[in-house]
This record gives sequence, structure tokens and C-alpha cells, in this order.
Amino acid sequence: MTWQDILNILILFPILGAGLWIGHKANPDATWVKGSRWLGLIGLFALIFVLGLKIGSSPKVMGNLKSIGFKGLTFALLTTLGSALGGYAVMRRLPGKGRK
Amino acid sequence: MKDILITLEILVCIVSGIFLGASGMVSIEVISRADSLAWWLLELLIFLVGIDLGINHIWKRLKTVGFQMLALPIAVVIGSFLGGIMATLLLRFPFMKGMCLTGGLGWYSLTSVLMDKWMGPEMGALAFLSNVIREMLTMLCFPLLHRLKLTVPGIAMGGATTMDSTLILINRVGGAEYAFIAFFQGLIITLIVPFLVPFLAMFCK
Repeated sequence: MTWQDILNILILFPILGAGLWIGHKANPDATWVKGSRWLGLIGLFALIFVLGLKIGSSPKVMGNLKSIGFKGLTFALLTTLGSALGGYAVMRRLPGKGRK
Repeated sequence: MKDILITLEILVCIVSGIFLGASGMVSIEVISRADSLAWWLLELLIFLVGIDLGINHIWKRLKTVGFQMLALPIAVVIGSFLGGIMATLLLRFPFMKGMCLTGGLGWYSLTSVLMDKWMGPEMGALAFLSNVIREMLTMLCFPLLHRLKLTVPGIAMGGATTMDSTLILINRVGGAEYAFIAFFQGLIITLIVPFLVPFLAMFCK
């Protein structure tokens, strides 16, 4: 990780902050708010597509797709299981319905 | 149903991107610009996430729920990392890279772009897959866990996704009170991940 990478990350926080401030001041029923949700979904799809494009164009990744899939599944299963057990451990401490 | 549709649409997007990239129909020049395009899209999405959090007046909500509610996101993070440690040991995977993957906590768009940028497309693909599978597992398991009266562990599975993609499902199956617990968990984790992943990445060689 270089200083440029750290700077790139630091830029994300004022961006998040600006969004928070604009959202805080906004009328939730405004047309542009609904539009921003659509834009978010389209932006997400575009980002995923671009990531797919990068994955597909890398011979190194394509050659190891099976191994990457196995590792991804293992990480997903164990981290999800760990979180669920964490949730189980604290569920009686939660206020309201969490006590069930 | 709407959530499952979105997950399917995401899968269609990634698979069509992979096919197009692998087909060689896209020029190297375009692919070389994909990095900056992905980063620009990520900035846009972060801004829109901020608007969404602002509209929900998160600061007021944080004041009202009290510290007890923090127990769940903390337990989710600790549980995830314990699972991540097990995965790194089982796969004999580089430890800090494994912790970076785990630190995504389900936020695949952010984690995969960061990992791709700093550690290459192989890690980007792995970050995407492990976090997307987590979202899919939550969608598949939550209704069953709710029926078994294990609703909170079901919410915990979702990590950061319980603020958006899996929230609608949790609201529909579990009801509004559980939806609030889910939203709060997703919100706290969404605020943690942008700090956590870069912090862990600093220790990766």
C-alpha cells in the first residue's frame, strides 16, 4: 500500500460525510432521493460489471478460477458461521425482540 | 423476491463482465481504464450510501438505542474474524490477506475494488466471491433460522448487508423490530469497514 493509496482512501471519508450531510438535510419524499436509489443500483451493477471485465481479462485469475471459487466459498462459510455464533452468543442481551 | 432478483442481477453482471473480458472483444486500452472507472463508481456509491444514512437520521437513532445494541455488531466482527482465522489456517492462506478478506464483512463492492487495486485481480475476485456468497447464504438461511427462533444469528450472518440488500428480506420475514436490529448492525459495520480494510491492508506485504 502506497501513500497514494492511503490518500485515495482518505478521500472516501469526506465523500461519505458530504452524502450524510446532504441526506440529513433532504426531504425523504423528494423525487431526487428516489432517483438516487436507482442511481445507486445502476452504479452497483456497473461496478460489478467492470470488476467482472477485469477478472475475465486476467489470464492468471481465469486459470485459477476453480481454486479462487473454493477459497471464496471456504472464507464465506466460516466467516458467516462465526458471525452467526457471535449473534447467538449475544442475542439474549439485546433489548426488545432480541431476547427471544 | 425483490432481494433474490437483485442478487441474480448482480450475478448476471459479474458473469457477463467475465465472459466479455475473457472473450478478448474488449481492447486492452479499455480494460486499462477499468481501474479508474471502478474507483469513480465506488466514490459515487459511497456518496449515495452517505445520503441513505443521512436520510435515516442515523445520529438520532444511535442516541436512542443505547450501548446494548452495540453488542451485536461487535459480536459479528469478532465472530467473523474467528471464522476468517480458521479459513486462513485451513487453506494455508497468507494470514493478513485473509484478515483483509474477512474485514469486508459482506461489503463486496468496496472490498473487491480495494483488494483489486492493492493486491491484484486475483484477490479482488476472491474478495468479491467470499462477500457475495455471504450475502447469498444470509438470504437462503434467514427464513429458516427465523423459523427456528434463531433470528438474531440469522441477522448476524448478513454483516454489512443487513443495512441494504438483505434488510428488505429481514423486514418481511422477521418484522419491523428485527429490521431495526438488522439496520443498526448493518449501519455500524458499514461505518467500520472503510477503516478496517485499509488498516489491515497496511500490514500485507
